[in-house]
Amino acid sequence: MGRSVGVMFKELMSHLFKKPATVLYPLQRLDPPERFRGRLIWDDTECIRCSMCVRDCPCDVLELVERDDGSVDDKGKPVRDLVAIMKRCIFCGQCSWVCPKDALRFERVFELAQADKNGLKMYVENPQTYEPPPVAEAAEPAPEADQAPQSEGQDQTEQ
Amino acid sequence: MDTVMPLFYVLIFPGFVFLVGAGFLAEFFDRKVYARLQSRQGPPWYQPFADIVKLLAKEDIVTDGADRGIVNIVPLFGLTAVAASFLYVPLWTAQWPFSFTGDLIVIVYLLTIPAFVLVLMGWYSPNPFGALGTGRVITQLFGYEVPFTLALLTPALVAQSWRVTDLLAYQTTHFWFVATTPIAFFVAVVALVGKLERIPFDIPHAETEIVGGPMVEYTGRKLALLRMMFQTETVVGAALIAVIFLGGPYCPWLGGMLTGITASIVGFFIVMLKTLLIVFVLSVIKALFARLRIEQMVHWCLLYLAIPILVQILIVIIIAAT
Repeated sequence: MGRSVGVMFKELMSHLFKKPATVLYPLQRLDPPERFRGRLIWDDTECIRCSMCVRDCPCDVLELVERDDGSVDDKGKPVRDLVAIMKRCIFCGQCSWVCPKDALRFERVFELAQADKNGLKMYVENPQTYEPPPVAEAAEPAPEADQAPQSEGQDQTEQ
Repeated sequence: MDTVMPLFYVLIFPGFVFLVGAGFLAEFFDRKVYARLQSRQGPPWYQPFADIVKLLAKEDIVTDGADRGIVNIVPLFGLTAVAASFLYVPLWTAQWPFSFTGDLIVIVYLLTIPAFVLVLMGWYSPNPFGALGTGRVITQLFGYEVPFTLALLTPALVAQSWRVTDLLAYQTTHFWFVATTPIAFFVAVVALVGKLERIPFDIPHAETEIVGGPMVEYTGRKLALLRMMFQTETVVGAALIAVIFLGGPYCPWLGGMLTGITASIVGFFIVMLKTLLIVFVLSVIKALFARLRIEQMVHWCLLYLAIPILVQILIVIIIAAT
């Protein structure tokens, strides 16, 4: 024991006078690795709506949703937009890897925390030409489904 | 004036406000040194203060089944006991206004109260982790308390006095007690680690194991008071060892050079430096070891603290008799 404590003591004291391995984070930032998967970006002009990403996503993050205004393309088909529920995303990169047009990619931005889950959204390449539909309304039928049985249960107890 | 000055002493300097400030400084220094030993940056200087402010702003919750009176009073009681003990530690002179015969015993007694505060907290908590922590606090108390008291008794035996200022005066004419009774110094520092429940003796609150032990149900203001209790106890314990074993405000190469108020100010800073030196040693111990199990701790304390300190006392008695 004494020997191991001696080795450890020497190691600790050497660190005391070295430059620390960490940085003062908010003031000083390190560059993330080259292929870091941070913020998800969708290029809607490149996207051909093949829905490969939707099928490949292991966490059901992505969905192709028709526009509310019922707009159609030049072939008469409704225009669909990619919507992402980013709170489910595990940043595995499958969607980006499978995309034939490289319309989905990950930026090296890692500060994605939000106070509101509506803020957890996929970013779009050309925000000037396109405004994505709100995520919460488009992709969350679950709370309504949960509430329905509860209200029935209350009715039964009242009866 | 006669009523204002004692109040100033007790509440502001060197009393409560100064002690809390010194507690923040000691915790910052401890965390910074600990971080640098682990090659981290460590917190900014105001972090301990910011932590306390955050806790004070949080909702004050008392769990169902806990004894509300005990839960409310006990953290304040512990902090008060530690603050009271600090008044008897002479910080810059041997003519300390609060000194009286037997103040060493009073300091040791008051420094035992935080352990009983933890016992009461855990005992009146409905949480099983609290009860488990309480058992460990008491078991650990038997490990460190006797060696700690005996370690402080040894210089008192040498100087033939129970008064801290007498121990201080003795060190001006003789060697410091760290040189004459080194085993007692070692035992006092290690027992202080146990008293402050720091690694490797953080068994009673062991966050990764019993999630805080007696403190498991505490939050908000009460947790802030408890944290301040530990911070201030660190300062009092370290300052006490600095005064008793490291010559307090005296410095051999400054002896007799300074007089009056200058001597007091310099002496005060010397005591603070020596206190920080003890805190530094505590930080190194914290970084050097991992947590022991409770039975290992008691075994270790009886073997390596109790027996050496008895040998030290025996040596002192034999030398005094010859």
